[in-house]
Order: sequence, then C-alpha cells, then structure tokens
Amino acid sequence: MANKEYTIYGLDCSSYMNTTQPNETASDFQLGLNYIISNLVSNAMKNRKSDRFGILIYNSSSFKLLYTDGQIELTILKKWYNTIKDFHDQSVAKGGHFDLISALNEIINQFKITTHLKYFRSVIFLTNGVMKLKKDYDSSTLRSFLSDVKIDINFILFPNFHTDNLIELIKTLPNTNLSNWDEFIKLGPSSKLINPIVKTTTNLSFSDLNLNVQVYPAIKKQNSIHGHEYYNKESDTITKVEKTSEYYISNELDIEEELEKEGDEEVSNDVEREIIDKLEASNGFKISNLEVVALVDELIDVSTLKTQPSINIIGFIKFNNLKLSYLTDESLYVIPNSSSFNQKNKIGFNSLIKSLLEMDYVALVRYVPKSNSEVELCAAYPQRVILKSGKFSYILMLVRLAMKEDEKRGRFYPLHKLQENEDEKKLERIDSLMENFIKSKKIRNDDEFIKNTLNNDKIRQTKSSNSTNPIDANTSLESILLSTNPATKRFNHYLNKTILKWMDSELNLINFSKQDKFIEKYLTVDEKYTLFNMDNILDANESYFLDKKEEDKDYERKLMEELNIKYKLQSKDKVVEKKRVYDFYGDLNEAHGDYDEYFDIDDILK
Amino acid sequence: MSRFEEEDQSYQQYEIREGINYLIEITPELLEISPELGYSKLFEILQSINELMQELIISDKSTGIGIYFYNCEINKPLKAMSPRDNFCKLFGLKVLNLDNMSRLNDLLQKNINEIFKYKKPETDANLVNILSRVIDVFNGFKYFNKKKLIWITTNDIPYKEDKTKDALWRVIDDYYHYGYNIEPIFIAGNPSKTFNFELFKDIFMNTDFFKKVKTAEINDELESTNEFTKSKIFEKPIITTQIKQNILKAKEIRRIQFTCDLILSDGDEIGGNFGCTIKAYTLYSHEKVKKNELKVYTRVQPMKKVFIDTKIKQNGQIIEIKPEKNKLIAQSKDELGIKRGFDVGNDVVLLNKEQCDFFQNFTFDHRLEEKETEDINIDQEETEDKTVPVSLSQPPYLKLIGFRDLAHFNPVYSYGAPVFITADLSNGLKTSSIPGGFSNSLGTFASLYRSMNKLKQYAIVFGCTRKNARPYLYALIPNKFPDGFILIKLPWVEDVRALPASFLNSDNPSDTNSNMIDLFKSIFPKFEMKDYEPSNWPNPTLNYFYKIMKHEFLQIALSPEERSTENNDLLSKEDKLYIKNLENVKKLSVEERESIKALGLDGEDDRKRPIDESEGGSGKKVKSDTGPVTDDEILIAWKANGLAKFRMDELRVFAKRHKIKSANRKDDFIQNIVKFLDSREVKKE
Repeated sequence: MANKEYTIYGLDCSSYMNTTQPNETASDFQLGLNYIISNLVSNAMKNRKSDRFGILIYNSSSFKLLYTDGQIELTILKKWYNTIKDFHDQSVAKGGHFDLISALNEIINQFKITTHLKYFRSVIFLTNGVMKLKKDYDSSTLRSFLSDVKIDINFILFPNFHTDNLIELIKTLPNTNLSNWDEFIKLGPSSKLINPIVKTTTNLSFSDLNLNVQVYPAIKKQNSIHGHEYYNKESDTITKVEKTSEYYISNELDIEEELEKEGDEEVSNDVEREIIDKLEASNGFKISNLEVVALVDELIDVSTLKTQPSINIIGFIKFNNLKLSYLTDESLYVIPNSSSFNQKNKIGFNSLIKSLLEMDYVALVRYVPKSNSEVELCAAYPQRVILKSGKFSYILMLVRLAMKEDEKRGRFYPLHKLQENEDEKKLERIDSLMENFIKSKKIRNDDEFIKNTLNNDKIRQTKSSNSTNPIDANTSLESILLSTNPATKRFNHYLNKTILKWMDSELNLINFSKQDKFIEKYLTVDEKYTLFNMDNILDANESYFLDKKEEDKDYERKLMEELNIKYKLQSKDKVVEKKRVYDFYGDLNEAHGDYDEYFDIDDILK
Repeated sequence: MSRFEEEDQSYQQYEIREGINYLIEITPELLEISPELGYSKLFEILQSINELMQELIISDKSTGIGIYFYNCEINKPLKAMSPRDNFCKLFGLKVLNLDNMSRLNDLLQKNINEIFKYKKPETDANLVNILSRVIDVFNGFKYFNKKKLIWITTNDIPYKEDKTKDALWRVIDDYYHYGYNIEPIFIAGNPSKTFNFELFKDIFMNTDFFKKVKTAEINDELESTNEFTKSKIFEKPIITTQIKQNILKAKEIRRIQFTCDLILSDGDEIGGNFGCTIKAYTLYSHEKVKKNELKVYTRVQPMKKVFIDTKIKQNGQIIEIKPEKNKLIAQSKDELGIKRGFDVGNDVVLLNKEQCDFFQNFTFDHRLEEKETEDINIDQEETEDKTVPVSLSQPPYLKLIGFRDLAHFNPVYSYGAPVFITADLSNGLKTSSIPGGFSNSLGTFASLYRSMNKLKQYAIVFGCTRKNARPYLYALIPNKFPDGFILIKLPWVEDVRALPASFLNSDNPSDTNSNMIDLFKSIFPKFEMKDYEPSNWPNPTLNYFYKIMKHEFLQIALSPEERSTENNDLLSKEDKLYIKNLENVKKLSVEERESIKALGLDGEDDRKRPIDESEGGSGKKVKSDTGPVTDDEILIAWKANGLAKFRMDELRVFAKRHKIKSANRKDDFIQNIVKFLDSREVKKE
C-alpha cells in the first residue's frame, strides 16, 4: 500500500510577492518561503526515506525546479533556500510569457516521470495572485492529466488582489482545495495515522455464545525524541558515542554472598575479573533476594502456565460499582472480526454491547492476548463510537484490572477526622467559598457529554493528514482535551526554528548551535512567552475552555486569606545539603536521566 | 515510620527494605484451642505470618522476617537464643528466603502444641533482656532501612516490680532512639477477663511511641497514620478472628510516588499563589515475573553471578567518566565533549546541555502580574522558610485547568495505574525534590476535597509529576476509602489509536437484533457481581510460575499429576479465572443454554474474504507463502554477511532446528547464529 508521499511546492517568486499582509511584518514571499522550508524541515525530522519533495519557483519570465531524488537533507535544503532567495531578488516586475498555469504544468511534468510508482501526490501552491494570468491561458491539458492521476492540490492565497479568473480556474480543477493564508495558519497540527495492527484474533465467549472478535490497541504511549550521544570536542567533526559492555564473573565470593552484598555498597572495581562471553550468560530469576534459579529454556517452558488466546466473560458489574483505581493498563479496542463476512457475528456483537449499555453493565473478562501469555483480568466497557457519517457503531474497550499481587496501598490519613479541633463556622465559610471557586472554574461545554460514547477525529482517522480542523467555538470539549503533547510540540518548534535560523547563517550546523548566547539570540528573541502557560499547553487557547469573569478572582483572594495560604521556601542550607545526596534523582524511563538539573530560566532569558 | 518516609519521598528508586521481628510470648491462652478457629491462636499467628511471607516474596522481596518466642520451652526445631530467659527462635531476622519459608511451613505441618510448651519466667527481668537482645539483632543488619518489632502477647501483666518497669521503659525508649518501631498486638486471652492496659501504658508512656499522638498540631512534621491507630492499641485488645488481618497489615506500606504543588490559580496579581502541596502514593502496580533481573553463568558449578560493566567508547577508545561529588554525570559528559544530537535526515543537530534543557523546559508560567515593590533574590539571603510569590513553577507541579461533572468521566482511555493523592502535611518543607510549598496545605486540600465531593466534580489538571518527567493531563477524582483523590493520566492525541478502516467504513454499523438483546438482558443479571476487590483475585500465571520455581529451587519433584500437560491444558488447578468461567455455565438453565445455542453464534468464520490490502499491518511485510527458509538460504546469506534480511521468525525456525540460543534483539540473535556457524566452520577445518 502506498503511504509514501510525493509533494511539490509551488512558490510565486515574482516581485509582486513583496506585498505585506496587514497582520504580518514579513512579505508574502518571505512567509511563503519560511512556510515551505519549515514544512520540509519537519519532514526531514521524520526521517522517512521514501518520501520525495520538490519546489517549483517561478516569476513572470522563468521557472526553476528544485528536486532531489532521495531523502531530504538539510544541506540541500539550505542550498535551495539560498537559490530561492536569489531567484526572488533577481525577479523584476516586467511582463514575460510565464504564469501560474505554466508553473502548474511544469509541476505536472515532473510528476509524469514517475506515474508508475505508488505515491500520495500533492501540490501546495503559494501565491498572492497579483501576478496576472495570461489572457489566453489554456488549462485543458492540465485538467485531463489531473483526471487520470489523483493529485491533491492546495492553493494557499495571500489575500491581496486575488483575481477572479484565478479563483475561477482553481474551481475547475479536480481535487483542488483553496484556502486563505490567515485561515490556513489557524489549522490544527498534522495528524499521523499509525496503521491499526491486530493484537489478538479470538472468540469473545460467554457460555455457549462465541463471537469472533479482534483486539486492537486503543492507547499506546508514544516515546519522546531521545536523540543520540555524539562526541564533539573542538573540531567540526562529530562521531557517535558507542557503548561497550564487559561481562565478567568474580571468583572471590560464591553466589549467595554476592547476592547478599547487593544491597550494600557496590562491588568494588578491584576484584579479579574473569571475562566471559556475553552469549554464555543466561538469565537468572531471583526467587528471593538470596536464591537464584537459572532460567534455561526447559524451565521457562515448564514454569509457563499454558494458555490459549481468548476472551471469556466471567461476570457483570454495574458501571458505578467498579472503582476507577483498579484500572491499571493501556486500553484496547475489541471489535467484531473485520475480515469476516459473517453478518450474524456482527449483529450478535452489537446486540451484546447494546444489552450491556442498556443494563449499565461493565463485563469482567479473562483475557489472554496470545498463546502462553499471562492471564489478565480486564474490565470490558461497552462504548458507542460516532463515525464520520454521523452514524455510530458498537465496540468494547478492555482495561486491565489490578489483581491480588498488585495491591501496593498503604494506610492513609482520614480526612473527615480532621475537623475535631476546627471552628465549624469557619470551615463552612471556607467550603462555601471553595464551592464558588469550583463553579467559577467550570470547564466550558462540559454538558455536551454523552455517556459511554467516543466522538473524536482520532478514533475514526483513516489516513494521515497534514492538518486538522481548526479550533473554534463549536469544537467539542472531548476534542479540545485530546491535544498534542506540548513537550513534543515545544521540542519540534525549537528544533525547527534552529534549523530555519541556520539557513541564513554562514556557519556549518555544528558550529551554528555552538555560538554563545544561542538561545537568546536565535530562539527566544522574537517570542513573547517561552514557557508553558494556560494558552499553549493545549492546542486550543484558554478562552476556548474557560470563561473568565473578573469577580471570580475574589474567591481566590478570600480563600487565600481564610486558609492563610503562603508559599514558603525551605531554608537554604537544608536544600543544599540534600541536593547533594540525590544527584541521581529521576525516573530514567520517563525522560533523559542525564539531563536532570535545574537551571535558572531568568539567566537564559536575560 | 516518619523517619524513613523522609528518605522515601525523595526519589522513586528508593527501595523500602523492612526488617520485621515477631516476638511472641507463649502463654497458656495462646496455646489453647480456640473455639472460633478450631485450633490455637498461636497456630493462627504462625499461619498468618506464613501467608504474609508467601505474598511478600512476590511483591516485596527485600523484606526480612524473624520469628522469636519467649516463655517457651526450647524444643526442636526451635533454637535457643538465651536459655536462661526461655527465649528462642524459629529463625532469626533474614531477608525473605525459601529456606526460612519452608522451615515455617514444615512447622505448621506438625502438631505445634507438642513443640510449644509454656514455661513460666523465673524473674521479671527476663523481658528486659529479651527486648535488648532484639535491639542487638536489629543493630546487626545494615541491609534493612526500616526496622520493626511486632510484639504479640495475651498477657496483661508483663512485669510485677517497679524496678522492672523502669528498665522496660528505658529499653522501649531505646528502640525509638535507634529509630526502631514497636507495634504491640494485644490479643484478648480469655473472653471473660478484660485486658488491663495500665501496665503497658506505663512502659510506653513518654517514649516516642506516644509523642506523636500527643502533638496536637495536625500540621506537625511528624506524619504517620499510626498516630491514630496507636492510641487505639491501648483501648481494646484484638479478638481471635482479627489476628490474621492484623498480621497481614505488615504489607501495607505507603510507597510515595512524588511530592509537588497543586496550583489552583492563574494570572493577575495572584498568579500561582493559591494552591496546596500534595503527595502521591502507589495504589496498584502490576507485579510481573522479572525474568531478566540478573545474569548468571552456569558453566561452572555452583553457578556464578555475571557482572556487567558498560563503558562509553569513541573511535574504539574508551572514555572514562569519573564520578565526581557534587557533579552530575550529564555535566561531566558535557565537559568531555559528549553532547546530545538529533538526527534530521543525514544531518545532526547537536545540542549542549543548556540547549537540551531549554528545549525540554517544562516550567509553567502563571503569568503573575508582579508589583514592582520588592525584588526577591533568594541566592543572597539566608532564608528560613521565607514567603515568596509564585510566578513560575518548575517541575514537579500540577496546575488546575478546570472542573467537570464527575458523571462526565469516561474511564476507557486508560494509560496505566492511577496514584493516590493526599495533602503533604509538612507543606513541602521536608522534601528535597521541591524547593518549598504552601502553608496550610491540608486545610486547602481538605476543603477542596469536601467541596468537590459535594458538587460531584472532578478536576482536569496539567503538569509534570517529577523533575524531568514529560507533561500530561490528568483527571483528579475524589476517592473514598481512603480519603483523597486518585490521579488518572489522560491521553494526548498522538497516543490514541484509530480503529481499522474496514470497521469504520462497514455497512449498517449499528444493526442489532431485538431477540438477542432480550435474551441477553434476561440472562446477564444472574452473573452480576456486587463489587470487585483485587485481593480476591490472585494472578494465575504469576502464582504458577512461583510455584514451579520454588519446586525447582528446593528440588522437590512435582507430582505426576501436577506435571501432567493435560492438566495444564485444562488449566484446572491454577487458572481460577478459567474455572470461574466454567462454573458460570452451570448457572444457566438448560433452556437458556439452548436459546443461546439457537442464536448460532459459534465464533466460526468459514467464509473469510481475501486479505484486505488496505489495512492491518500494511507497513509490515506480509508473511511469504513460499514456506520456511531452508538451511541453504541461511548459509548463503551468512557467507554474504546478509542474515539481516531474514525476519525474526525465520531466524527462529533455523535457530530452533540447530539449538542455537535465541535472543530478543535481532542484532544479538544474528550474532548468536553467526557465532554458531563460525564455530562449525572451524571444526570442519
């Protein structure tokens, strides 16, 4: 299946593009160029080897196609960037024989070379339409080709004096989309589709009832960008840092003693090592902290409880009787086997889900994902999914439940016992203020909620897209809360910006980022906010999910006073002393354990 | 408890290694057959400890247990500690191990009333000696970072002379000076006789044991839930049927996940100044079999532990990073010229530590409109709990977004186990991972809790729960038993997966059959469960694995019945869930079963259509139908250095055929195969 992309950008580089939009400081040309380069940098960051990109630049007298038959590289991009700028600088506002139609034709010619290959082809064309179309333009060849080969064409217009006949022409072309620049930049971020891969195909069983179903992942945590370690001392060259491991045994102690010592100090470096081959080491299982069993294949086999993939319904429980704190893993979708023609199976499945919904039941199921894998106990929630057509479908969602061995809870402080010594009237006053505070911070559109229903674009996505619907007053709360991870957004933004700024620099990339005060000079200089705040943590800014009223602040002020809330710092010497001990603080799985130290943000932003 | 909790909260990797000594006073009442149980209280105690050990070896391997008795005849298998004091042990304090576990298990198989005989103490002073001996035992173990004596007795006259009282008081006070806890369990011996606590109160009075209870101020640094239960210990003895519950309490350890500020306000002149400091604790985490906890070398007998030493290499040269005090490894690396690089196409964007930190700076800006009155410079002032305005929050923090109706929480998009949130009673002043905290956190937190419960609301909060953790949205949901909130991670859009296209585009997506629905609705209530409690559901796979491992280690051959593959297939013994499922069928009447059968839903799918190319792993190579790879193909590829072209499953077939060690990573696996083939070639030559 073709999920390779082939995109050619068209950019009007005529001197007519020197006009500036009312809300912008840069010219139309500069905006267009930055948009294209930044888009290409984003694509380069994805490191997809099979995608192809090109840029067609033109003015009234000539054109130039920039294309590379390979993965997009930053050095090439920089060359293109400079070429485009030079080309634009040399453009004069004098008539020639070239126009938008001829530019489109050139793009089509480029596509023609590889029509036998499977690609998602698209054109993104940026112009302000000031440069007029030739009076006798002929778009018939263009139209006929476009009806044979599917190409998505997006025109992005800087609304200056766009001519009527341009819009007319655009309307006659197939698969063509027209948007204004200011609408265009409001669009949501791109959305990549990860092809659903079936996890289990099995029967959902209950007594003599068997439904053929498939299990797909519903939530899967995406890893953050980690990068690699490189060695770069003074020169321009960098080399990847390798890791090497030495496997050895020590003959000084026997294994029990070694295990017993584990909790104490680390084994010193001075012990005599007997180096062994990595392959000769087998896994050991610590049955207790003093006793180890070597896990040879036969033992693994014998000790594995033999199971077959299956989902068995064990019982039903009312939705509200199942505590949320027992839900302990990433959730899964269960749907009727989609490769099945058996309509009865699907109706049976739908009827089962509908019965559960009507009875407000959650099913408790025993789930085995694959042969000999662990037996899991899951809560199976019946759900409706709203489809693109507005119709809906039934699915079941599995979430693993905690079992006996998983209980880690301790004993906690009872909150209701605290009021003995307190002044009851004061408490009442505080609670009433708190209630008002809560009401003032009520999230907007919360009432649109429909129980047991999933209604978001992500669940019904069938292909990757470069942009998503813009957020507006009608966007549902469910969609607003399903935002892009702001950590990823921030990282990509600054990485992209670093590269974009480098385009104008004489230095090579390594030395470019090595400059003093790099962050202040290039990254934060033109930004008002450089940290997280209520407007940028979600894809929508604050006004889309909270209504702010001036008097609401009063509750906060009064509560602070009544509760005597002050933020206090620990005394300095205490903190310093402790920091030293916990140098290795941090959850290594969550982020890069190496980069864990505080720094003073004010120092950087000075 | 509080002493250790302080360390505990600082970082997650901190492991609780608790050493528990049971000190049991043998009394005639303890040995009597109890009518409620049908056996003696002592048996119940030992059996409960046995059960506790079975559970802890799975979930808390680092716990140590010792069992000691006094006023007891020293009969085998008991070992004398101090014969003069009638003080002996079944086994001394040691980290959990199978040896001790089987010792206790063996004891329980015997008639314990023949082993345990009450022996009257000769003098009052015995107990003083015994308690000091236990301190010595604790002192001998550096391994345990938390030590506890559980003192079990039915005797309410621990001493007769005043002299002994003073001595006992001093010993008990010593315990608290060393930081060792004493938890007495007083069991009602004789129902007709009331347990008199006065003598015990006297020896515990004015020790640290009571100090915490006496501190009236709730916000005192000394936090412990035991404060409340402690005072109760001296009110009422526990009755026979509560023994087990009391002993199993030992596994209830609060595991701190993180401490941070929960900030409720934003903007204007308040900024982030309205909030409270909170603590999060683990509730549930999936216990897995850790099959690669360590490496062993089995080519020598007995086997050896394998150590692994990883070094950084550059152009074949090893770079030494010397750990320096007061310096982070990242800092040392930076100075050595090791930087983080991000691959963009074939180019690399190299970032130094400062830049990396900036790219991943998750500080929250509360947009405080600061008045230009005072400029606070923390560095220059020696501050003692100084009050400052909150304009920025560095991780860890949680920031309120807003509130939603509790009924509007859909639990189906789940990431993993939630954590339990309660107020930080030390207001953030005792935790090294945060710079400070909000005063009266408990007051604010409790009011928030009460009000959210009353209005039936939950909160959406945003933040990073650790210093270098990535940010997430969370649902903060009021919880009862225990009182507090549970914090549930909500997904970002990139973590949500789509349903397959064929399902989304199918015809008549919501067709149902009313007969089926009627039937289901009449049957399902028979299987309704009132609630779900994890403690009633042991994990079959985990327990089976441990059972086999125990047998393997102790070299007990499994009975043929247990070895039988047939049994395994039926899962008849181990998989309680499967049994439950089979039993369920019996609840249905014959007619009901017939009606279900009549639906014709048998899971069979005989009319499969050809594989739809548009979905299902399109990114992956479709398995070829050309049959398995032959040895020749592998050999040719090996000669050409091209084994990487085969898929893992193809390599596995070859490896299995020739008994070559498998591996999880493809590189390692290929290395194993190459090594095997290389060695064969050498032999041939």
